[in-house]
Amino acid sequence: MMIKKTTRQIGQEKEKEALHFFEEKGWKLIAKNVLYRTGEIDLILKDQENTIIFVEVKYRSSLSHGVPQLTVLPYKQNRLIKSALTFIKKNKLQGHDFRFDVLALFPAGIEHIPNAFSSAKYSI
Amino acid sequence: MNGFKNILSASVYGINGHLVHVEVDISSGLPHLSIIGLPDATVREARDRVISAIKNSGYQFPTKKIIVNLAPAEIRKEGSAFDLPIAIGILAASGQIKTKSLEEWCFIGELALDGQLRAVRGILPIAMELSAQKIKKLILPFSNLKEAAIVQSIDSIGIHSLKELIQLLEQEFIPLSKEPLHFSPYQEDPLNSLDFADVKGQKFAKRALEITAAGAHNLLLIGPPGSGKTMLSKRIVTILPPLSLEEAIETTKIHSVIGLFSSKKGLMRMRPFRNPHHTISDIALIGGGQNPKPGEISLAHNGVLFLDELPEFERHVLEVLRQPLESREVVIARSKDTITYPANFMLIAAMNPCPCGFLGHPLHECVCTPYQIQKYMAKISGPLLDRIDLFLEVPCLKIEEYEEENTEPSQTICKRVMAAKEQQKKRFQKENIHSNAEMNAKQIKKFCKCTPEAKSLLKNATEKLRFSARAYDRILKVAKTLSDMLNQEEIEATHIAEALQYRSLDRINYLN
Repeated sequence: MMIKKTTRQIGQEKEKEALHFFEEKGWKLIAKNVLYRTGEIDLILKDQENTIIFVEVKYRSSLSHGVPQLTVLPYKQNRLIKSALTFIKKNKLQGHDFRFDVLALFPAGIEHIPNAFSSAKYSI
Repeated sequence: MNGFKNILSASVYGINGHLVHVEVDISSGLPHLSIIGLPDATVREARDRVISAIKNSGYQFPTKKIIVNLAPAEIRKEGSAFDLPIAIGILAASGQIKTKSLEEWCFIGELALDGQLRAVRGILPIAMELSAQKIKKLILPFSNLKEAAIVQSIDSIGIHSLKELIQLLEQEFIPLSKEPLHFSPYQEDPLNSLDFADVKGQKFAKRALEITAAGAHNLLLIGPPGSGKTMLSKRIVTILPPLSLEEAIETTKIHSVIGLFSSKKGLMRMRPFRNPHHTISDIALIGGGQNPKPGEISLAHNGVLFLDELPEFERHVLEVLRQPLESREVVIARSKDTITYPANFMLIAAMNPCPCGFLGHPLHECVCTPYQIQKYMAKISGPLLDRIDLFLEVPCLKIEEYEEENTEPSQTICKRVMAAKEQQKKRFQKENIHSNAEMNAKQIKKFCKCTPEAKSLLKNATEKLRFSARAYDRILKVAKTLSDMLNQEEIEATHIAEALQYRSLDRINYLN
């Protein structure tokens, strides 16, 4: 009998799938599952132009509750931005270009949203 | 790519244009576009229009930290005209346009999401300001081109879309060796179907309107419904001389700020005739609002403000007219700004003698109670009536008059009016005024020379009828216009006598 996967297991699986997606593009992984008080950043990558990209991976097994990318609302966005700022400071990355992407995974496929959001509230 | 660019643009403050520097700075950091320099809501919304327009024109919107500063920072910026300079600034600062000569140009235009350009308001005052500041080149939406072309000293280029503009810029304006478009001011005579020949009878009223037109006086018509008050008033623009170039620019500027410029008509030739409904608010009448805008009295600058059904206007709306009627301008003072709008207009008002309209009618009986009549008349305050030069009773037509033929056309009356205006022009050459109605006390003393008979008649009348000092001056002004119409130097007793006739509201007091 197959044991039902835990949410955590599904998450890790999907993040692996996401990483694979980006590595095929030629992006390099800097860190993953970076956890701060303000929240977790799923993936941090660097593209060919040295832009540092913070990625939020979202998965939905069914579309009956809407598409996954809609769940990254301003509250979640602000938490991600705060965590990203902490990461930038700790690793002394000031002077780079930054971006927030969302990678939406659903049964039918993958949707990559570059520069999904930004905020005027925070700046470096 | 990081970078900085300064692009020249302009906007409107009051009724004058002023230059605005759009500074764009692109640097590394969290991607964001912020617009600073006291932008209002329309300018802040430029952000989303610019992002979409750049993407849909086939260019990259940089994922960088972008700051757009509109200098000078202390003046509030409003309107959508900054879309184009912001987009050009972003494209140039991020290295997507490599033209070096951008600084010589002034950019104005609203962007549609697909990169097309839309017309904006206030182009005429902006073009005049550029001309005054010796900036020769202006890029603007094609649909605004005719308006800018009124100012001949600048080269205006009308474009349809952001993409078209960038292609032109990349070619360093080589295809623009073609002559910049110039239009002569005064496109064509505006079509006007109104004519005084349409009005049967009412000879006395027509005479009064002619005097009003000749001296730019204020007039109040009183009469029963259907006697032709409105019909007569609407035709007054047809006997007024056309606007001079200087006046036309002044008036068109105000209309341009409100967005009433019509590229079909071009520079206004006919005097404006503003006919607001009696539900108008005081702010809409004299101008103002949080972002001050000129009101109806300024739109009627150098023309006619017609208030039909005068007692139906809110009392406080009529009272705000008092000061601009005297000073011929209106100062809008708000906590943030103080703006002066010109308001040199002729007031023509029409009303019924009582609520039912038939007081004094030869055939109909008036059904109003004295109290109702008193209340009706009391809606118009003494100070306002005092500022009106001519009161005219317009009786109902007699049946014989319906058939009248050979009524005088507007053109003939206009010729006489222009002759009288010519006299005034000569007289007021050094005085900075245009018409008899604008004379101040000093000028009245200087120019209104009376014969001894005229003097004694006026003195007697003033004593008997208890005119105010202002009414006294106004009688002299009307008498002066009458002497101008006959090309006479001095005011004679007959002129004073005719001017006195038009003070009927002082004479017949409807209240008693």
